[in-house]
Amino acid sequence: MKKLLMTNCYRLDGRMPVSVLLRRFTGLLGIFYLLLGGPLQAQQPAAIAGNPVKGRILNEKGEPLAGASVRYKKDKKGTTTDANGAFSLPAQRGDVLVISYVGYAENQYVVGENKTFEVSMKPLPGNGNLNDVIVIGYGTQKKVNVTGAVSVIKAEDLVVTKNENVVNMMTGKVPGLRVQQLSSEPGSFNTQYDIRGLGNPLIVIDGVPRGSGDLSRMDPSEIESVSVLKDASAAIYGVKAANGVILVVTKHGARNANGKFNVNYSINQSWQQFLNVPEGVNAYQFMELTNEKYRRDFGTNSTATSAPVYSDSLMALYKNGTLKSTDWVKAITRPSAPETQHNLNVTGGNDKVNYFFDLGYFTQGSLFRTNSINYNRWNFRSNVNVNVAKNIRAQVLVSGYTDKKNQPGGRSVWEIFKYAENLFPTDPVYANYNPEYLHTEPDNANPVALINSDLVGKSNYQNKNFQGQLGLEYDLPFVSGLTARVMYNYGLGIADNNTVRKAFNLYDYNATNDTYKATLVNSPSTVNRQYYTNTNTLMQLSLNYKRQFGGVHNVGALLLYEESHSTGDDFSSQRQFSLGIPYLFAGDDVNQVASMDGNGLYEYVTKSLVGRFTYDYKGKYLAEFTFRQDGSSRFSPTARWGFFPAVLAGWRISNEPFLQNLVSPKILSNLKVRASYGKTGDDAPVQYQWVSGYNYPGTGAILGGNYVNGLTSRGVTNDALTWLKSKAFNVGVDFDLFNGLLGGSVDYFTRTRDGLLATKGAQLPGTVGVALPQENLNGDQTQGIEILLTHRRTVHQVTYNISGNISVSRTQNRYHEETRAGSSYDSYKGALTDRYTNIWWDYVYGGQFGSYSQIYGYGVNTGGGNQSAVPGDYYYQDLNHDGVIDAKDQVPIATRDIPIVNFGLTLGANWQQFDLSVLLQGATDFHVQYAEQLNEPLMFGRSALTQFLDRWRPADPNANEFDPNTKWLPGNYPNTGSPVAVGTRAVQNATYMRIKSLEIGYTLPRKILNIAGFQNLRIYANSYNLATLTGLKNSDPEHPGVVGPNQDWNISQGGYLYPMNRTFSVGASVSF
Amino acid sequence: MKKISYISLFLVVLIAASCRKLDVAPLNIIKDADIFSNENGVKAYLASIYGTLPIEDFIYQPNHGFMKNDGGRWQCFYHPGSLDGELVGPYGSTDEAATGFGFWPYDNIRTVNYLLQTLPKYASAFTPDQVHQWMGEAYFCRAYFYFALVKRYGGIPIVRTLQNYPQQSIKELQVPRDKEEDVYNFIGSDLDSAYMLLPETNLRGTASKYVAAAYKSRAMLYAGTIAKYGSGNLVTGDALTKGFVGIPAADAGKFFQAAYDAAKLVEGHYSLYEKNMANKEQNYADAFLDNSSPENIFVKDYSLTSGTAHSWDATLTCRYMTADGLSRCYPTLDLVERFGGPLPVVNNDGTPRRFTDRADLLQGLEPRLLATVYFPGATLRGLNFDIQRGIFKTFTGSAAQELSNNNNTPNEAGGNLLMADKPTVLYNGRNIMGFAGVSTGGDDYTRTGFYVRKYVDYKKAQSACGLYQSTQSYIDMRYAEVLLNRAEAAMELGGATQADAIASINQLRDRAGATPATASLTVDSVRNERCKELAFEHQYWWDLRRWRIADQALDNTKFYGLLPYYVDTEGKYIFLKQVEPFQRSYNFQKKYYYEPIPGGELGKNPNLFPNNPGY
Repeated sequence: MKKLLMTNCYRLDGRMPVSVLLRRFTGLLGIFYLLLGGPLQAQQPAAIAGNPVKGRILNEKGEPLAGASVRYKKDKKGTTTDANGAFSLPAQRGDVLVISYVGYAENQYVVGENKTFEVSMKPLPGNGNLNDVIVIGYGTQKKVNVTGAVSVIKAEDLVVTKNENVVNMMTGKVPGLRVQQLSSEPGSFNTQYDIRGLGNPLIVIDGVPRGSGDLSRMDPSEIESVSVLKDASAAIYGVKAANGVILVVTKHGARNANGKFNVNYSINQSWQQFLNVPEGVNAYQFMELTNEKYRRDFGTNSTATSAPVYSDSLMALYKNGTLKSTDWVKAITRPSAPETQHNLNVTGGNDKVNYFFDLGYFTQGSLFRTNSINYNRWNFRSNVNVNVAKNIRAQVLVSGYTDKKNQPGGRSVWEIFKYAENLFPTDPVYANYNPEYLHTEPDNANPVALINSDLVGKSNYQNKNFQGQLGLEYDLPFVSGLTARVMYNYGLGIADNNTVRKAFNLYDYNATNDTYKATLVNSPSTVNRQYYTNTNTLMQLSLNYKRQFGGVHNVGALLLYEESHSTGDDFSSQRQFSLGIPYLFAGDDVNQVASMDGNGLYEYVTKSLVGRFTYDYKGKYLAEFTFRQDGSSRFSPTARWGFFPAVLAGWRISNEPFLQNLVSPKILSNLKVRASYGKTGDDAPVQYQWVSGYNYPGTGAILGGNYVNGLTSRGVTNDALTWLKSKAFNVGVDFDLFNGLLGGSVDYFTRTRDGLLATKGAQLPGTVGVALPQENLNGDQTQGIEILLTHRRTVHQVTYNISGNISVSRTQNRYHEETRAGSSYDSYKGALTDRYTNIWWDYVYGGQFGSYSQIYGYGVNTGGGNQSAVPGDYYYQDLNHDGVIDAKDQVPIATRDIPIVNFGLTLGANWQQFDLSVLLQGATDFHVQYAEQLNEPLMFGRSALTQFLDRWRPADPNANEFDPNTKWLPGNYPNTGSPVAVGTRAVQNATYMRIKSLEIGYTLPRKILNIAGFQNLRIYANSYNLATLTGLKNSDPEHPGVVGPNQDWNISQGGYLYPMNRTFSVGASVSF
Repeated sequence: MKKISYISLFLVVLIAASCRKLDVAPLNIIKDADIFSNENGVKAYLASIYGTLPIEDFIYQPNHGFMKNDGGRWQCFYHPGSLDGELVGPYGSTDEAATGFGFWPYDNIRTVNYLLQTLPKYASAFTPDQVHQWMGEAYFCRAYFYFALVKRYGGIPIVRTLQNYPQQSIKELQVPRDKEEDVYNFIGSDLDSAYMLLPETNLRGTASKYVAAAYKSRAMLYAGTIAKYGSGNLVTGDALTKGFVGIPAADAGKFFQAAYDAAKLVEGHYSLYEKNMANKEQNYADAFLDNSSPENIFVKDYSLTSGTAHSWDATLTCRYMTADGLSRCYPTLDLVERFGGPLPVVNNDGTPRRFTDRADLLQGLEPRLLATVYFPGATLRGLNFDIQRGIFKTFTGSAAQELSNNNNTPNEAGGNLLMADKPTVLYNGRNIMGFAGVSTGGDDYTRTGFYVRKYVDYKKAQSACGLYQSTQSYIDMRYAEVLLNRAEAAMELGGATQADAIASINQLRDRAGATPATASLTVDSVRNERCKELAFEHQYWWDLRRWRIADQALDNTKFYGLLPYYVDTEGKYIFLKQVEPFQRSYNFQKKYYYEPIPGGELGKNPNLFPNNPGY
């Protein structure tokens, strides 16, 4: 028994042996087979004999295609399929039937012995077909009937980008979805994204609102489609829909033609490279720059009289190799790191049951030499649909994930990069170059120590998430087309963080007596555990009605009641440990801390009534009305309920006879105009602000030797405070020409919000001593345009499609509560009403002084009367012509935040067994500014990056900089010690276009597969961020500098963020 | 069909059970009645007032304020002493901090006023003594806030009662400034109320009768000196003529008398720390570290578990002696020489005295000085302050020629003087600079040859001297100050009270190991005693201002250090008095005697005009 346990357990070092992994996979397969294989094998279709030829035309999923054309090749006469995809034609052996359907590749069938057959049609690659059923809020619609601005990313289009974050896989693929990946740090999922620049969208996965992190952590193989609701089509989600909705639907099984099931296995192996990792100067260069900086005495504008910081004799020691220079960045990084993804899924079904089981594993390593940042994740899913009885269908969806991010303990990742970039190259990694003794560094931040988890301790962040959903659907008797549905979802999330900080020794070497002095730092060792848990339940009761009257009137209706209940709880505790056992149980009693994050403790209830009515006449005139009545426990009883209606309408002009007479439907297969208008809300910023009283605990004091918690008054409260209200308007046109040769859509939208939270406190004297509560005061409007063009074609044996999209979006304040301005300039600069948001104010760059004569002749005072200026220094434009550069010369120079214009271009092609897909993605009207090390050499008296060596400096390093006769060598940066760049010199245009992904695949020919017993086998090579075209220097455009709305300086974004990666992958997917 | 009925029934029950009400109260919000009807509630309320009291403790920064949770609160070296010449340090100039940080704590004053107004309504729930004590604490705290305001801005609006919006109009709420004198009177009367209501003894960290009296002696002394010296040395302006800044000279005596009387009330209830008079140096150092000191009147405590610990140990001595952090401010030779004149580092012929051991310099210096400042050669945690600016291969000539520290003398030229930025650089197998400094590169080693010793916890292991690991109490009011307040008020009042001043000063000098004062005691020597006794205790900046001498003391002034060098050919050390290597000039503009009223407040309340002179 003991032996059995041992072999099935993790190895004691915590790693899982490969053999165990394999056994797990095969074991799982066996279970699936036993459970489902047997009964399904019995479901063989019975052969039907007879004349004429009968057939069924199916789509790629085995669903019937109604209205497909089946014609004789010889005379082009024929028929179309019925609602079941079936047709019947008199035919003789040898006749060739041509089967075609819009959006699908043409198929030919030679009539042989069999008089009954099925044809599976292959879709043309591209942006979907008019008869595709797409997912919308609380339902589905045929694409042809959609009246809202809804974009869809299908599974096959999603997975051609290989990335650890599902959100990054969406980049550039649909217009209006703006995605900016900030770093490639394993497990941080550091990507900001929005729809049309509107803010954080609502994420709904299989009908359940979920967190952004849950979307990022999905296994791409479990996703069937992603719908992006951009306009009033989102209004059906009411108070949470103001920023649009991303709907994700997971895969389901399908009735399999021969009753068999498919096992699909895929593996993706990637190697990451790191983009724009900064490079530090060496010791000699560092000393040169430092001496240069301190040579200039700015007090007297002359060469300093004091000794150079680094004497020639000292510098010579580095030049001749007596003392060694340290490259801190290289000391901690490696050129590449691996990343692996496995997925195994099983799908199948018969008339009664279908199922989809999925198991995924992902692991990613980091650029640290020690790989001390790393991440791994398991995903699982079981989606089962059962026809319980004739009129009753059940759906059981169970899914979850568990993941873990490891990183060195005690320090943020950005700090490690900061120190690697700014520590002195004159400091050795090891005291006296002896690798036993890590050298003492400022802030104890010897980077080589910081990346060593064994030494400094380790943090891990684990998430566990479980979702279980049961749905029952009942076709009500008596009323045809009426269905009742009940759904209940239970969600459980756990975040479990453990941080161990260990004390360790750093050393100084004392040459005088040849000793190493140890300093114990990071003491005391601590272990900190944080535990957050939350539950969410969602219950829906709905009635769905769908019917056609008189063959022309299509009516649909939905009435749904929804109730959700969310709770959250957490705790955190910390103990010091002295025995070396990094667990709470082994901690010391002294200084132990138990606490809780008050924001993590909550309970909310929401109730909603949702309705939708759709009507269309012959599929020509489309109308839809939706509403939602939302109530939330977070608002005061006086402002608790909100009503959110929306109207959507469409007109398929291409179905009008007058247009068909004008332009043949063969040329213009689709032309639709549509418009939508609806109200939505956003309750995210409002949390119990109407409740008066005190927050507890607040700042307290140690009285009588014990800490006594204080409390904080909640001040004046506002009973009427409520969610902010938003109105979305969209008008668009969709068109398809020449059977796919040209298609596309154009949308114009506005979103107007009012009731944005602001305080009138700016007007209330501080002596009152109270802050006014927030009120629903401000308003803004976002507007923009999206254009999508598609082209698909088959030339000889090459089938290809191209799809390009571009979107523009900007937000303008409509009303902004303001304080009285002190001057007309302040009022010009400070007044935000009717002004675009995210404006960057600063100086306009003039140039670099080229000579002393230019400095003397320059009529504008750039500071200190230009007395301390030397050639190479920056000057700025005196826009108000007052002869001085000061704050009054600041004007709007750029926009901050996510780029305003985003574009993407996808290309997909197939030739024989090969397939190719390319995604170009980019953005413009996009600006970044970098701070600290990326902006200033010798920042805080520390080291510099190599880019700053390209600087203005006297040709003779000992020459007097202030002597007009001194000869200067020009460079990109000014002389070290001169003012650093600001304004348009520092704010760089980050416009870029990059090959976001490139994939080449090869599918093995059927003959070979049959021999090997596979159904399908495809191998591919892929690259992510293969190449980038940008004018930005020394950084990656997506890697942020100082960005963020109204955010002057966010240190964690100051360019120290973990770098972006480029990956090269190979992989295979196999079905059997 | 039956099965379906069962299923339906089950679903109905499930739905009924899961139905919830929308009235879900938030879980962490409490109400007035929960607080004022129970003792622990009132104590929590008072704790939040004490917790926000503007005590200029270890983490106070004159340009950033009281740093509650700010990331800068580890930087204990942003010390006001670096503005006034006690220390040289991180500030580039006096201008960086002299105009303050927009202090305007009326939200905290409202919290006090709310208690004063609300507690009586709930008085029946408590004993009269309890209510008296809490009301007394509230008056004390309100006075504390107003004193912190008046010493910065002069006259500011006195808000005695709760103001309400929107019940009161904004116009009504735009209250005007009160006169500086009226504010001091208001502080005096609040402290008198506190004295009346409070008990004789207090819980550590809270107010008692004598705590209130001690603070009254401080506040009234300020008012007295401002009245006496304030009129003549100011930028003129509306605020001055209207009395918003400045106090009529005629009232000086009244305030000095009040200061003297208040100080006298404290007598007998506290005493100087004299537990180890056999070793006066050690005794003086311990006075700041021993929590049981009878000298402590009002202290602020810190702890690791409450997240309030500070970083004095980590950021006032060099990194070599701590486990983290860095230092940035260093005592000046000017301060050191206040104690007993120039140090014996120059021979009669003007050449630098040669020392075999740097520690020899410490012989014969005042114990209080040695307990205030770490000298070269002193030890801490078993480590030596091996301060060394560099190595002279040879040294000839006088000490005076090296005074300017400009690298131009024959001793410094031609590679005779070796200096380094790090102790890792060697000359003949010997470290060029000491592990404790002085570095040519960073300012995180001493720039003056000295380090601060006061409050440094020498008993702490080096590994425990990390950031946010120091928990020694900050003594905001100690009996020594009360004696100094008493002596200064006595001298200003003149006459028979001079003897009382001498007695007070001699208590301090005896404890310090200094020579006793005689009848020649003057106001200036009392002031000098204050500078020495209260060095680095955040007093000198305010003292310079109230004495109205800051503009003369800091007039293009540069401060000096005492930098040790090793002379290689002789194997000896020399100490050179030199301008500290920052070579910073300190200037105090006359307008700095008051800070400007915060700009945002002027925008919201036009009745705060006129602003202070010069702004």
